Amino acid sequence: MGEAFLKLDNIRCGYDGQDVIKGVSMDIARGSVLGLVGPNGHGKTTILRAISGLIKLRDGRISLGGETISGSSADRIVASGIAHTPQGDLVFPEMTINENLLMGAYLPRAHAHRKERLRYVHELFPRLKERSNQIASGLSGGERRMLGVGRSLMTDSEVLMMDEPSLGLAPLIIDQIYDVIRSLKSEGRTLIIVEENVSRLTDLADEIHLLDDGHVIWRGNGEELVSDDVLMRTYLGG
Amino acid sequence: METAVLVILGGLTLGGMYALSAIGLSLIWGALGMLNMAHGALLAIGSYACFAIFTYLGISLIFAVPLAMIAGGIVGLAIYVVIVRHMFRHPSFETNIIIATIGLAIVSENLILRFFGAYPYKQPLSIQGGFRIGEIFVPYQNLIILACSSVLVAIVGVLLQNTRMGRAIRATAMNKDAALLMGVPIGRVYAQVMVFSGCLAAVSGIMLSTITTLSPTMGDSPMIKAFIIVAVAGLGNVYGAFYVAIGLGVLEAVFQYGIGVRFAFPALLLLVIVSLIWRPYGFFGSKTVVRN
Amino acid sequence: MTVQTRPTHRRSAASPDYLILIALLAVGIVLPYFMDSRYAMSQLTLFLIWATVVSQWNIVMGFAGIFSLAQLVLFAVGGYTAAILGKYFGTDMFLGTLLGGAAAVCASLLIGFACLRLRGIYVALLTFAIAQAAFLLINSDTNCIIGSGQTCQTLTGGPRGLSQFGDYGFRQLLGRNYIVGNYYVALTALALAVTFSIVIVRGPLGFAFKALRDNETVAVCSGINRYKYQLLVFAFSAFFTGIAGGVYAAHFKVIGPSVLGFPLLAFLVSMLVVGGLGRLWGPVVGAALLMLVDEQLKEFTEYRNLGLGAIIIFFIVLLPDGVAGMIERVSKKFRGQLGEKQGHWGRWRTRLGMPMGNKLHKQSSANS
Repeated sequence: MGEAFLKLDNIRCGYDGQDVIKGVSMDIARGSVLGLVGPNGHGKTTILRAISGLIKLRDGRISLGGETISGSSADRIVASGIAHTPQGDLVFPEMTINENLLMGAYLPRAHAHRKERLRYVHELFPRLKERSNQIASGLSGGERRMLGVGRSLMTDSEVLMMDEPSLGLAPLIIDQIYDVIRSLKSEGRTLIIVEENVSRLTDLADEIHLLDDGHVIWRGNGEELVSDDVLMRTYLGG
Repeated sequence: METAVLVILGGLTLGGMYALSAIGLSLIWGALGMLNMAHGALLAIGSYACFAIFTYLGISLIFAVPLAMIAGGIVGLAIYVVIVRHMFRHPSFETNIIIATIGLAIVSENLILRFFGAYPYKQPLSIQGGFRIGEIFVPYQNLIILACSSVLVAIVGVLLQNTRMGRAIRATAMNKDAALLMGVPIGRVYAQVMVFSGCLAAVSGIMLSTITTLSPTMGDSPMIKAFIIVAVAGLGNVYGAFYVAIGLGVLEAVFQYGIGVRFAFPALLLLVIVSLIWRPYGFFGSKTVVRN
Repeated sequence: MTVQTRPTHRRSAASPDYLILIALLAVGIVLPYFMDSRYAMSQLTLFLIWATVVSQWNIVMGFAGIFSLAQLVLFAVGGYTAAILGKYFGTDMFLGTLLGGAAAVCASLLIGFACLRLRGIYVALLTFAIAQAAFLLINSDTNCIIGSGQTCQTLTGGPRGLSQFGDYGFRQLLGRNYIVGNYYVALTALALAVTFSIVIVRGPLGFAFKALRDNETVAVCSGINRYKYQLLVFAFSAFFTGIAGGVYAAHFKVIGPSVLGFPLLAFLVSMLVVGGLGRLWGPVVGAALLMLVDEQLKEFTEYRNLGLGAIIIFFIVLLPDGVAGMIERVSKKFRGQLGEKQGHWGRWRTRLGMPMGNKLHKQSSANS
């Protein structure tokens, strides 16, 4: 493990006056893959939303490459190099696929290279190229996920956060998405992946954190987690 | 025959003016989720600005109109900076902003009254003359209004459809969080939209005042029509707003001719209500565009 | 504060509101004995009328979540009905006022059928347009129903309005002090209207609307029909609003299209906002404050509307919960100092405050 690139320092946040994340610290090295697992409703998504600035921290600090990013607005944080593919994809429903992808290249650094980025995404997801002028609201679940992932690749960010990339998809499409994720890892990008399905992470993630009730209660790698019967049974329904 | 052409020409002119102010309203609704009850005030501010710049500063009309547009834009921006920006966080933003802009409309109406009085000035900008097709006299004024608004609507359309800024505005309207995650500074987008809306309202007001007269409350009735247009088109739908504006303008002219000025608006309103019960999200609207 | 405490909370919550009402009513009843100015009595009567209108508007907008900008249409329907009946049929004004209330209910049902199925914001759009249409129709009324030319009398009186349709007849009864009679009629109307508000807010309907605000899906699944309930509240509140219109007409002996104008709308909206939208006692507080301020600014009439606009903006931007919300916050602080025990202040807080959002429709908490 190298030096911490993305650093969460005892963060605390939540909704409507209640803390969902109750003091979480993480060090994520540049180019590493972190898996976040845990039962539903215990703060996985909230951590991603806190990192990308969609919700404000009540306490603690988040820094990227030594610079504090917590407290900035979401658009600034994204501009500093963190892309977030949210749960439910949040594609722009009344835009075409191409327009959605171009929105991914909104930031100046990505806008300058939007043509190359578009080619790159089209290579990864030929389906998106075929349907480039289709309105996004008519897409199937799998296509929408591809669009969501493709759109965040357009941002050309160092850090990519994906919220349940396999949720609700057919196994074949999950394979395809994870192939893309693996190729992102080999490009040396830093990845944070929230996943219900631990087996998808075992060979991919450098480190896995298990979240329960707003705390990280376990850290380790995939094999250790899968071999720990008690943890699997208690938290992960295995 | 001649009356039919005249009625339709009048309707198209009305529609052209309505379209500009309806598009401004629609943009604001779509992006900020706010119903701007001070939109009529912006219309009045724009036309008084044009009048004042020409009459008191002696600046040529070629510059007075763009300057008045800029004035409208500045007022739009000021509304955002001074009022709207501070209200987003409140959970009943949608309700509160309507009330706040009602307050704003009263303030602006009364300020205009203080400065200019209630005298029904004539807008200096008016084009005389026209031409004949057979028996029918077609004033240039109407044609220019129609042409101006078509050109402006087309510009807004291209801006929204084909530019980075336009895409950001549409993205913000569709999903605020997703837009943020693409790095869109939505505060700036809001400000831009308010400026646009102010500019468009100013032009719409200037056009309106060339065929009637200036008055502090001149914007109220066109604003209500713009509301209706936006509702029928589907809130936040800019292109729909243009078509509906033209359609309702013609319809209003036909009603005015057919059943008299007095009942034209109530009849129009009734028609709109019936059509909304039939299509609750408007004719061009879809559930997804509208914020929920 | 969950399931277990709710029933007791409800029972204890109902009575203080009625106690406050009875106390205020007592003050209202004895007040005329300490007033010798006819002008003051007339202004007090006007206050009671506006407080009635605003309290019903608050129920409609702040609790039932109907963004109606047509409340003054209902008020005008009540007033014009009483006036027209009095003028052309010689109807007694008491009966006229009641019929005015009934007419307002009919009008509210028509408006409700047309608008309430639509989403919240469309209700605001359409009711505003309806108010404007009503204003234009009355203002441009030139169809003579009696006479012609100089003696032309239109049904609504056009821009000049209607007058000479009689009053409550307290002049014969009370002589110079006839205004006191009007005052008591207005006081009765307000008392009934506020009682109705309490019943709505603290009763089952209040809980239904709270449920709709908190979680619409769950509420709908448990059988709460928003449209039906909203229509019900809208119609009932229209009754009291129409009555207030009748009282207004009988008190001033004139009613004109100005009741549908922007200045009055602004005046009443500022009462709502200053008092605190969605707070039970907010409108009464707001109406009292605004009447007082208006009285102080009588010499600056040309700046009156400017001031009203500024007040609306100031409150909605900086104090969106109004004076009632402010009292709530102050008392919370007091309560904090007094410790956990829910004392006198705490109960006041719940009375005056009872925070209630008035979202037109729910936003997810994640978005806010």
